[in-house]
Order: sequence, then C-alpha cells, then structure tokens
Amino acid sequence: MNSKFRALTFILFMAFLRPALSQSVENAWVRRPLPGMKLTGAYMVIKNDTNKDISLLEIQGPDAEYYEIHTHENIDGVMKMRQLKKLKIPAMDKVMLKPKSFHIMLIQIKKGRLTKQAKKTELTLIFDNKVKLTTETKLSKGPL
Amino acid sequence: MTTVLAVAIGGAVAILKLQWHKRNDPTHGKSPYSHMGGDFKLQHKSGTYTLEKLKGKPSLLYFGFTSCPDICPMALSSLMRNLDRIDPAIHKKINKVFISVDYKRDDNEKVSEYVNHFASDIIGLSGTKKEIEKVTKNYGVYFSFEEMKDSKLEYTVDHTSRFFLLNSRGGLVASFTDLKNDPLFKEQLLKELP
Repeated sequence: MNSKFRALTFILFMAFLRPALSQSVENAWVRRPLPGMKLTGAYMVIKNDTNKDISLLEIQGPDAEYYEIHTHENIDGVMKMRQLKKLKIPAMDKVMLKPKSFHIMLIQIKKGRLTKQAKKTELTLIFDNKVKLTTETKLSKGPL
Repeated sequence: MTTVLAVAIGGAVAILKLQWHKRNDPTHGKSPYSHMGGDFKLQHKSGTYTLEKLKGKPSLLYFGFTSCPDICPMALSSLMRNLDRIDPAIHKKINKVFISVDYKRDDNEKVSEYVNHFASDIIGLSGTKKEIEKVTKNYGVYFSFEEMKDSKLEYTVDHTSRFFLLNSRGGLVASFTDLKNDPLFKEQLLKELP
C-alpha cells in the first residue's frame, strides 16, 4: 500500500511538472508600411504544444479592413503569392510566418494606423479549435 | 580560280561582318547575356525613357510592382544596403532602376513615389502593356497577372525577382538573385566601373 501510494504520488508529481498543453504566438511583428501604401505583412511563430493538429482560420486587428493568410512560393526564381484558406500547425510543432514565406496580409490599412509614430499594435488569431489568441505586435522595417 | 576568289571574298566579308558586330555589340560578345537585353521605351515622370539615357554609367535593373508587399520592398532595401556595403560613394557612379510590370495599376508617378521611399536617386519606370511585354521578353523576365478569387487584393503579379547589371554602354552583362551572398555581384559591378 505504501509503495502504491508512493508510485501514485510520483505520477501526480510528474504530471504536474509536465508543461501545460497549449498553443502560443511568439515574436509577432508587422512590416511598417511605406507612406501611402495600403498593404503590408505580419509575421510570427505559431507554436502548437497540444497533441492535435490545429489550423489558423482568421485574423483580426485594428489596423486594416482585411486580414488574409498568404504564402509565397519561389518557383525557378519567380515569386508567386497565393492566398490560403487556413494554415495548419501540426501537433507538437510550430510554423514560422516570415518574409518570402507564410505571412498575414493586411489589406486596406486604415487612415492614421501603422504610421511612423506607431510603435506597436496587436493581432488576434482565431483557430479551428475555438482558441482565440491576442498578441502584442511590434512594428519593424524587418530584416533586409 | 573563280572559286578561290569567291571563297576569299566570302571570307573577307564574313570577317568584316564579325568585326562590325563586335564593334557594335556593347558587350563585345563576351557575355552569355549578349543575346538578351537591349533598348526599351518606357515612361518616367519626366517623360519617355529609353536605354540611351542610362548609358555612361553601369545600371542595375529590377522588375517588380508597387503593391508588392514583401518581395519588392525587400529587394530594393537589399539593393541599397548591399551597395552601401561595397562603398557608400558607389550610388553616384551607377543607375538604379525599378521597372513596374503592373501596367494595370502603376503609372510613372506612382512608381516614382514608390521608389522615392527607398532612395531619391532610384529611377522608377512604368510602361504600357506593349512596352512592358517587350522589355520583359528582351530581358528574360517572367510576369503574370494572377487572379485571387477570394482575396480582397483581386489579383497579384507573379514575377521574376532578379537584378540585371548593364555596363555603361547599356549591354546586359550579368544578373543576380541574392546580392548579399553572391560574391560575383561585387566583383562584376566593380569591373564595370571606370
């Protein structure tokens, strides 16, 4: 009995140590649009630490009329941009949204938003498992 | 005797032709690009723009479009930064040219305004459908308007992302995709400077 109790305590202890199963967004940034430009891209790392595949379905934010998921493909030196209906993040994996690859496209940037003075903004990501994540998003010129 | 004379005359004509071609070929037949490039007629905010106006300095040409959110701004920023790395004084010795292939949305004023965000000395050019089709064909640039049915963008423009180096006589001598990591970029560019 005593040894069984000890084993049970150990299992409970290990379960407690295990990181929580969750999904998260890291290092989110938006490319500061050129003055007069109505478009720009947002980039980040989306982590899925759950044991099920998830998909990003929708993005919301205060800066643009529309947010879309896009990708770039480089086929024999020709850059092709395509829209994606959803972006899959496999279980226990991550997907990087970065220039020349997956990105969120901000279309019809609203007047007075993402100006030179703006330092940060936010994005809300909505997934197919009903999880809604809001992340603080830096404004940057981006890597050159 | 007549045959020998005919062959001799034929040979002399061929040599003269070759010499004429060499003199008039701005790349002197040395470049694998010598069959590409050539004159163009495009639009600048100051008026019609041809290859003639670029002669006298080496030039770097890039084809893109102004509503390109990611690739074109990165390409122009990369051009500026990599030229700075070689020598900040190099900007005055070369022409930097951005040609918009999006003849549906971009006019010369829009292209000029766009390139001005990167540097005041970048030459921004636009063209009509015919002009763009001709210059892209001659320089080996692929572009295609692609409908985006469910996107608010409506369409995007697939395009070759490549820098073309012209010598000071307007001849196409090289092209590069990665200015930062291609050692030939600096080497070839410096070779074209006086």
